[in-house]
Amino acid sequence: MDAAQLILVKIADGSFCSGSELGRLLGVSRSTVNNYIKKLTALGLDIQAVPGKGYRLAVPLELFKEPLIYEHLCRSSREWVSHIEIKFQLSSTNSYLMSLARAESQSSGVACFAEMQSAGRGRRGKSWFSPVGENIYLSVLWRFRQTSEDFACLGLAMAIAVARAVKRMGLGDVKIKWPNDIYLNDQKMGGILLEMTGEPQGPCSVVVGVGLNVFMNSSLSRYIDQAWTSIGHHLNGEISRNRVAGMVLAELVLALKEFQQSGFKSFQSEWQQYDLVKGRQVILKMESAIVKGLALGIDPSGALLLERNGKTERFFHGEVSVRLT
Amino acid sequence: MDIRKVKKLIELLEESDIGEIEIHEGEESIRISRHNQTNASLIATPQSILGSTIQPAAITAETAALVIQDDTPTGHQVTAPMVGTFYRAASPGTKAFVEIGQHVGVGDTLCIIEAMKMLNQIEADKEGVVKAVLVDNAQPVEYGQPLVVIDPVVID
Repeated sequence: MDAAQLILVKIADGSFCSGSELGRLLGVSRSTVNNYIKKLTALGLDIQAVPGKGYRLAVPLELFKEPLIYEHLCRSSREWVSHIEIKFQLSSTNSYLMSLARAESQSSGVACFAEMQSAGRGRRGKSWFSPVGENIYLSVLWRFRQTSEDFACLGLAMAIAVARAVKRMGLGDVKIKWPNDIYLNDQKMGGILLEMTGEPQGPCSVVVGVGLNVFMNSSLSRYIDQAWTSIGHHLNGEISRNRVAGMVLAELVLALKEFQQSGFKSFQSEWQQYDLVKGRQVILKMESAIVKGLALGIDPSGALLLERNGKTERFFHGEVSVRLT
Repeated sequence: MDIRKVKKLIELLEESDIGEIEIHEGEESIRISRHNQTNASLIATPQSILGSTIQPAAITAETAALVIQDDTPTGHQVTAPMVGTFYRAASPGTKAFVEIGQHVGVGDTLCIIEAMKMLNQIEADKEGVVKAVLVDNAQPVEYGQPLVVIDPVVID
């Protein structure tokens, strides 16, 4: 942990800490402390400096703590989590676990949380806004000895896992936009990106990356280029980030286990209740073409079904958006 | 001149209203012309550019098509392990994982195949030199479709 992180841990709960006290703690001068504060401010943190009192966070942060996350893993999920790593800053949790995936020594069920990502990403170079201490950036490494024919549906199953967790928190209206974006009230709340190495027929290693907005107070969030929301915007009262982290991780490993045993079959009917676009006119943007149609749901292979000119067509890629008529 | 360039030129000609293209590149030159559908010709001068089997003379369009279909370079083929979309780079605007002529080692990423937001990094399973990339960026690929040809390093 570097000095700036130590300061953040010290002031995370929102109480004041004087510059001289922080200086003593780190063995540096007050002006050096001030430089670290500037560094934290540049990350988007709102730090107040009050003469005579010191520094404090305008909005307290609940930083990740491994024992607290573990506490919120339901008992049945614990045996599938081999260990939990917490990092302050990573380029992305997926990149980090993909590098571990190549090292044969790492077992299935390694989970990694980061307080912030400097290069959080979605598909095709899209970035995932990852401010410090507010949301969940989580990746899980899973090894498959063999896989089922519907392996490409794993991403859809992972979206159902996240939706299950969000629903259990009390947000029953959570939806999934095919193939695996998490929505609430037509606003994006989370995204999932899977990366794999090895043979899709097995053996292979998959890293499931989840970005889920929990608080999102950052002043930098105004740069997000689409309608978004966070769990905190909908749940009144205290929500614990460590609890959300534990609940999401638990559902992910349980769903990975379920998918490993029986493929997508057991998820497919559940998809219906979370389908954001079923029955709506949508636009599907692919690299080569843009098509419009009525969304009919998915088929057993996870393909998006669109009705176009009276015919049902299947699609395996593209970005879905709801058509405004 | 690379046979793929010849193929591209023919395609260019077919898509356009141009009757003839002539390209000079160093000592090689090629002229592709079409008169009518029945009279399309492909002329290579002064040396054969398609290899020793073809003389520098006018050949019919059918012959040219045959030669081009036989274009896949020999070597170790890396095939698609799943159905999806083929990408040569991690994201639009970034450098391709590999270029033709590049040396690759076992485990180096060659390309990505994406299906429903699952990204599969396709790695080299043999050390060697990339001889050909057989699929254009962002094109759909089928299971088992050849993607990249590697000229394996021969160890004496």
